[in-house]
Amino acid sequence: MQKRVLLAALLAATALAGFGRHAGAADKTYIVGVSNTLIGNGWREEMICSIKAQAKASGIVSKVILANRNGGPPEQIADLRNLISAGANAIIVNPSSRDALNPVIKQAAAKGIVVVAVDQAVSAPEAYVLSNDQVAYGQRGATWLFEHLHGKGNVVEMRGIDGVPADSDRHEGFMAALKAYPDIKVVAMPFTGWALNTASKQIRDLIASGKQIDGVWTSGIDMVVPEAYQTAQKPFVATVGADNNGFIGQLIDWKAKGLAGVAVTNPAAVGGAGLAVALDVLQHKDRPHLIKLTPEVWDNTTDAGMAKLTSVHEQKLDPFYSVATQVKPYTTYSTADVVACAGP
Amino acid sequence: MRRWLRERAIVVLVLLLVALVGGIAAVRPGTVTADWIANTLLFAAPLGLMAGGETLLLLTGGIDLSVASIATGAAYLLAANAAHGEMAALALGLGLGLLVGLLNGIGVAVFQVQPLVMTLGTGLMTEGVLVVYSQKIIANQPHVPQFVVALGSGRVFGVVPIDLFLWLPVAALLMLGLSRSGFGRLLYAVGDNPLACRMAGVRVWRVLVGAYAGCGLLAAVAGIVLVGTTNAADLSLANVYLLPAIAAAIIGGTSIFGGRGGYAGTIVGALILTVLDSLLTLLDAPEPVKQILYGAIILLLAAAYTRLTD
Repeated sequence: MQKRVLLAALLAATALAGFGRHAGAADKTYIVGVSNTLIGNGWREEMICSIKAQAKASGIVSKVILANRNGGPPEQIADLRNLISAGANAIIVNPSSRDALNPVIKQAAAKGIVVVAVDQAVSAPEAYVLSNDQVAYGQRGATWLFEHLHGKGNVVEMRGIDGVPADSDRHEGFMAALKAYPDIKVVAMPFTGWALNTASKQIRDLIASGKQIDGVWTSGIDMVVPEAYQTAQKPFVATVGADNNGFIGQLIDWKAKGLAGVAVTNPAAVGGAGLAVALDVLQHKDRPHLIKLTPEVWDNTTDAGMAKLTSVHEQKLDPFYSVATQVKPYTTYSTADVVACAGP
Repeated sequence: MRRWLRERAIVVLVLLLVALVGGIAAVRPGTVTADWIANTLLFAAPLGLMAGGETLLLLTGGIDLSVASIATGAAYLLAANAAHGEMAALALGLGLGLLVGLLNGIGVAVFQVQPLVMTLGTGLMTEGVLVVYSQKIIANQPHVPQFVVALGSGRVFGVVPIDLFLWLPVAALLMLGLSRSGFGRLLYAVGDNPLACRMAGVRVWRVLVGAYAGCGLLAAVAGIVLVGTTNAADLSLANVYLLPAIAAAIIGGTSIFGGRGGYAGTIVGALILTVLDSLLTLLDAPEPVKQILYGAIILLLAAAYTRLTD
């Protein structure tokens, strides 16, 4: 009998304690919605993992709801509506269109939901936008390449997908850099579709065609270029790529064999950084509506660059993992949480 | 002349291929070298293997839209698991192809699901499973085994791509199998008139399951050659090959209605598409112009081929 009373008391105490904790935290935990419309892309997966990791690190997110499927604006509008109905306090969206999502973003804002577009911009004034400066991405990498070639030579510009904003922005930066180097000639400008095999075939075709090529700028499909020169048993040419783990491995390992190159950062961690901004706004901190990250350039031709490349390279990780796993000062998670894709 | 050509349709295709190569030589003199030809064969092989699977299915009146997902999956599984044993990883990759192929075959033959729908479904499922899987194994130290890299980008004597030593025997097997073996003849028969086959006592479902499993396996093999070329696998590795794999078979004279065609034409079809790609890379023209050209040339090829051979 005594035992039972004790048990009942214990249960009541636990229930009270639990209730108390819940009531105390209820006014400051948030539900976060994520909308992504390209699946099977390693960079996008990492972006989502960084959102989960930041949610965990913040300690004030109770749940991350993922709307992740292949689609365009119609699918994404439906997903955003669902996230609003599901009670999201903040929505992180990688937009499939600059303008088409504006009405639904307006609806969300009217309900007090903070919408942050990451990676690419939306034109809705209610939204916050946090993205890499893609014009600078094109310009900084290209400038390094043209400088490395002492302002003279033939280069190939391996672009992404014709008509996609990130591609046109990077191209704009590339052309802006080119203006200052009249003796640099662009001998080919293939669109890789950001597909490995397409890029691999294009560079091999160009090598086999006998055109003189002194340097290659890529829009992120970088690894296949040194690989093609390696298997063709031709001397490497200077190569510009992104902060892909595998490419960075090549820059380190093949430096002794004559590969010169630079990795320009395009952090997938914009997702986590976007969430940090959203949580700040929810807590009534003032944040600018447009945040542009300036890409870093890490070359393997200087000691400082090599030190950076060596410190970020992670032998065990996937070759397409973007090694810029943090966007300071926004992200506060541990990189291990991104790799584990661990959320709250 | 017409009749002679009709009986030797492959000759027309080869002439078209030669004309395209001539086009490249005209656009960029000095391009068509032993080096370039080796490169073209290197890239045609995975397409040819994938298109081989499609040829088998088109002959039966079927189709497989999951080949790109299978090829990507095989490549990804191989790279992700190579650290724990390269042969086991290879078996895993090929096993995926066989498994999805079998599922396709069972769905189409036993449960009578329309092949377009069945293979679209299994393709999407394969893709989805891969995404989930990729998040689990991100720190698995992926790498492509050295022998696969050699297969996908190596050459013997500096000019003969190693993947030809895989493609040629497979091609011989397919061509002989289609024309000489009972199973091969049944593929044509099933495509031509499944009802008559059934009445004649043919177990049509067995033929179909075999064909779909074979197509899945060939797609997996193609994926492994592909990952040898790029030396790294991502989750969209083979996506760009889906429609060309079907187009290569159709350009090569295999009917999508079943019962007509063969692998020799598909091989030339795969070579034509590969050369066409090169032509567009080497052409100094804006991207939209290139896309218009690509579409127009394929239409022209199909029309010319039909006129010359029908």
